Amino acid sequence: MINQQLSGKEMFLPKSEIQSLIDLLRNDGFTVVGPTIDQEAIVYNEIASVDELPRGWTDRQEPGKYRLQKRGDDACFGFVVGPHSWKKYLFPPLTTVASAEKTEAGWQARTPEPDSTRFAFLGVRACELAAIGIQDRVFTEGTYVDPVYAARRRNAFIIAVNCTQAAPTCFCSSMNTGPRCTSGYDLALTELEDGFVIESGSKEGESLVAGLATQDLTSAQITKADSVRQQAVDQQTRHLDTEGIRDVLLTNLSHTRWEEIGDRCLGCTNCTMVCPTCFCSSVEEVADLSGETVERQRHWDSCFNLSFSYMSHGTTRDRISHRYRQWLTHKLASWHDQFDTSGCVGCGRCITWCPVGIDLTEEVAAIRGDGSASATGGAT
Amino acid sequence: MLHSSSPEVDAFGSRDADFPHLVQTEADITETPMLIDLTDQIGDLQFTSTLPEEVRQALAGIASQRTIASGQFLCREGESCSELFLIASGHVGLDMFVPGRGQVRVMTLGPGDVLAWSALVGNQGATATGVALEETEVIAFPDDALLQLCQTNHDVGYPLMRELAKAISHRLVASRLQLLDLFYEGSH
Amino acid sequence: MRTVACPSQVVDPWLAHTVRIVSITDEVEGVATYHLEFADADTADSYSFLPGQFNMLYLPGVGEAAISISSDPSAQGTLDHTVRIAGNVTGELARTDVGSTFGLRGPFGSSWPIDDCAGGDVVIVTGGIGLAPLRPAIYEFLNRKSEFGHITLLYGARNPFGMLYTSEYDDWQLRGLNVNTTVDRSSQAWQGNVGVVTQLLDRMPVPDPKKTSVLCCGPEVMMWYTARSALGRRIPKDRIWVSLERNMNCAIGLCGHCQFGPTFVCKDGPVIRYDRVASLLKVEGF
Repeated sequence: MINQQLSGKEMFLPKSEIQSLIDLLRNDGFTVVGPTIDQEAIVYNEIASVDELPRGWTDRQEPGKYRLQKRGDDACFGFVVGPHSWKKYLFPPLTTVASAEKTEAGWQARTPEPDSTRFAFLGVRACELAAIGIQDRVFTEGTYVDPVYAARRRNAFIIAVNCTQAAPTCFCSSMNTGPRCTSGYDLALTELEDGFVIESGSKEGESLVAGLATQDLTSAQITKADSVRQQAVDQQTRHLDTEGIRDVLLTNLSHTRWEEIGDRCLGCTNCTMVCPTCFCSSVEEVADLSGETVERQRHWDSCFNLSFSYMSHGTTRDRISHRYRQWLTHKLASWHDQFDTSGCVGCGRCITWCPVGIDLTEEVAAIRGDGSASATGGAT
Repeated sequence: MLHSSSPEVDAFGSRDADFPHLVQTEADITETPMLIDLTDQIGDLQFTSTLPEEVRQALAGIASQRTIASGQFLCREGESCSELFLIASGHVGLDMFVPGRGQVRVMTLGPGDVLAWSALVGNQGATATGVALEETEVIAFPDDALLQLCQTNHDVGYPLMRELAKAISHRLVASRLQLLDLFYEGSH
Repeated sequence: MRTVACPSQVVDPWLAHTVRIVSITDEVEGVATYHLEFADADTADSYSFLPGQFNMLYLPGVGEAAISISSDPSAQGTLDHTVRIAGNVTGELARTDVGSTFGLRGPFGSSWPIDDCAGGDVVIVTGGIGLAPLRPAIYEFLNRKSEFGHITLLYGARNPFGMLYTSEYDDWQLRGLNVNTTVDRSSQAWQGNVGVVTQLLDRMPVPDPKKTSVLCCGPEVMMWYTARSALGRRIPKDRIWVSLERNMNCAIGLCGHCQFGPTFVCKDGPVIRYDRVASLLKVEGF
């Protein structure tokens, strides 16, 4: 478990040993999930082989734009983040939370047995570690614990990867969530040309490393690892001013900017689907043909959907501007009241995957009255 | 039921210095002991409770107290009414006549409410019928005397009209809330 | 790997208990009270709730609806919900007969601050179906009458036919509740008050405002104006409580639907102190 007394020693893991890492985890009963290429994007899928990783590929991101591109090398993790996040495994997009059956004694409800799947996540970035930490608070540290999330999270093994580059959409430095992985992992990797610097963050991680053919680090490797990690810091151009952000937003609920955003926003829900911390959901009834066996299925929902705030006497947030304001004020302001943390980790997914390139850093700057918007100007 | 005398009313007693020209002499008051009663009564009622003591005394000087039996009218829609009423106790129904529906009650007034302000603001006739729903005590102010008092002494006229505007604004908000039909819960 | 805390949660919060309809009381048009009992004796024994809390009523195949509890919290074995037909679930419930079973999760949410009201006067301001979540509070106040000063109910309805629980008013009055009613639209036969319910608050005696508590449930506009009237009567803003309504889907603060600024109405509410939400109540579409 994380935070136990560890040696803290960094080792060198040759590139060829990544397959051994995958094999060890699979032999131990883990479902290994890692980045793969699918539909022209880098997404997370179950993997068995190192060959399934997007070796030699990188991503080019801008507000509203995402393209894969060949790299000049065969780096396994030479990209930033794609549309998927690990929440699709810990908080599944579709899951059964309860069921009911009509018996002679009337309706009887049941809840499913805890999920026993053991996931090993390969390639978790610093911003994603932060996102998992935030969802831990949402789903397991409040009055009620979500049994689905808790079971999957309890069993998850996390292999983090330090970023060695940043996209123009990244702003984890502003959110203090990265790019360096500092905690919340079992193992952390930093990719070099011919292998990885590997460090353990838990006893489980340490014992796994013991089964790999690691080598002592050379001073050149240490220097190189520092410099590629620094590259991810230096390349970050986007910035979100978080100073007093809660009050800035909650005291500007009638700002004219909300209506302007409402005119641009399509209400498509993309930002909430790609966001690694968004947790909104709805439960629906799925009955068999006889109507005597019913499953209660929970699916991801979004505060951008009109039906989300529906009440019998009317919909609370009936304009797109209301819904965008709900999303942004929740993420950056009321999240602090609810969970004592921001709901944003600075991954930039909502900027990249917005079909019209709405950039939250720019919107916050506008509401602040900065005029300067984001450092790079963003998309307009 | 009358409101018990509240601290904020008493507080105005110390503000005599702000209105030196309004202070009645001891002699004035002792000569008309009934008026002292009314001054206190006026001070207890919400409409007039925040008025300066001097204004209340001036008002008491033209006021008379009356008991309206249940079912008696204070004013009738369309007819002129020569007094402004302040309800001290009891309840008054405000009715409007709707052809085909008869008298429709639009509001009930209670202690502290004013009615029959139409003449005071220049309207020809009352805009609703006021009927006592039980034995009701009112304080009546003849419009002529009241208008004259307001015109000749703006230190009385201004706070009084301001209070009247506040009461009408209050009544307007109440009517709007009624109009919003807040408890309508849709067709089933 | 991570140890996930599972503090006091013994029962899966998604698990619904089976309840049976014992009887149904028609209240007013489109509103009925369902008297329920638990199928399982252990659940019946262990179940308790506080005034103002709600349950999720679950009709399999149709869905769930958040319905406040309307019965006396101290009357063990009774569990009433007064339900207005408003959607799929409540519509289906209206077609359900005595003896039928369905599911129930709860109780959820915050409760009326009964203890905080002790030692002072209490004014309950409500309208229409809003009396339903306050009825348990009325029972509780009357059960503990000696702890409070004057207890007053100001109840507004659309018209004389829209008032709930009218057969109980005499009993409430006898037990020490000062019952005042008013309607927005009168009928020929109606001899009572006509006008918005806030006027009753404007008019009533409030001898000791600093020790007077206001408990309010109704449409948001009505609650906002009630608070305005209460503040006008010098009742402090931290002695005014409102019960909010939002779309509730999970009832356990995990689905996001019911958020009202920082408040999850399902777990931080529905009963909430007025000063904590006052600034948001008039923000359109929030």
